[in-house]
Amino acid sequence: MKLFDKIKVINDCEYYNKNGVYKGRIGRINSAEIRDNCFEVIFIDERFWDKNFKWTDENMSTVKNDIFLEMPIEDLEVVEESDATDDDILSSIPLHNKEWWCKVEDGYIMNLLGEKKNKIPYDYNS
Amino acid sequence: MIKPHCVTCTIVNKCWFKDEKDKKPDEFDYSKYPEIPLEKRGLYHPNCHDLKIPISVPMSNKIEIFDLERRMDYLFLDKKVWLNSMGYKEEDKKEVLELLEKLSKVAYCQGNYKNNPPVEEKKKYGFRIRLNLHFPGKREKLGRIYEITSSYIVYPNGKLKNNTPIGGWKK
Repeated sequence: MKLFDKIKVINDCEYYNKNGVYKGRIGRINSAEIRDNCFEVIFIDERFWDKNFKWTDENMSTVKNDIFLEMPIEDLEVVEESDATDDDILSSIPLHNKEWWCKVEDGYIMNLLGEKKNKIPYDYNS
Repeated sequence: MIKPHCVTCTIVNKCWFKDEKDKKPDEFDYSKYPEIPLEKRGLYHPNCHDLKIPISVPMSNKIEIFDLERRMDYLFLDKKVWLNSMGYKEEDKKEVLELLEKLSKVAYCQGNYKNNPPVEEKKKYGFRIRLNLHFPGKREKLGRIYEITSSYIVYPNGKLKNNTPIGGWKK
């Protein structure tokens, strides 16, 4: 799990619902860095995923603004990996610091130095 | 022990904002706390040492935008049909990038933005703004202007980090 991956929300909570996001909604990881075990996720108007929906000059202004939400890793499931490279991630990380946590691999929060944050896989607070 | 600066103080340091409501970080509202003495009244919180310093309006050609180019691929992937309806095709990616860069710099310098919903818990990512852009149509949509928005985080010294190239419609 990393920058630009397409994800599905797998848990519900009041904060998500209040912002128009429900379990099952598809989004994309928008932040390179992980803060407090969370990625920032962007959700675009769901009509963009509907191949049959036609945008016209008449309905264009009805588009919903993108929603940005900070979401814990355990609430996300990757549905499509992005092609973001380590260089892409590094260039987007504050101060281009390789020590920032930025990826989740096999249940571990990792940085670009290959270090693991958690001791027990999938227990992100361990 | 040295106490760290608060998030607001840190993220807005050396950043330029138009001096209007909804276009700059909210200052602390002392009207609700009359018991706080005058000498303790800082800009963003009691005892805050930060100062509001006038910075001349930046020149658009001095603004540096980053993270926009890499997001263009995903703009054309996720919002392709929308761009198509404005007359743009995949092959126009570079042109769209250049247009967004140019229009965003001008909109920021003119203060043509609102702060992106100031959700308290997201402050740590930086101060977000939603720029209003007059985006021109192409091909069969030549002559039309679309009122789109583009979101950024304001960084110090005239830098803008893109959050979403086209994030919605000017409401």
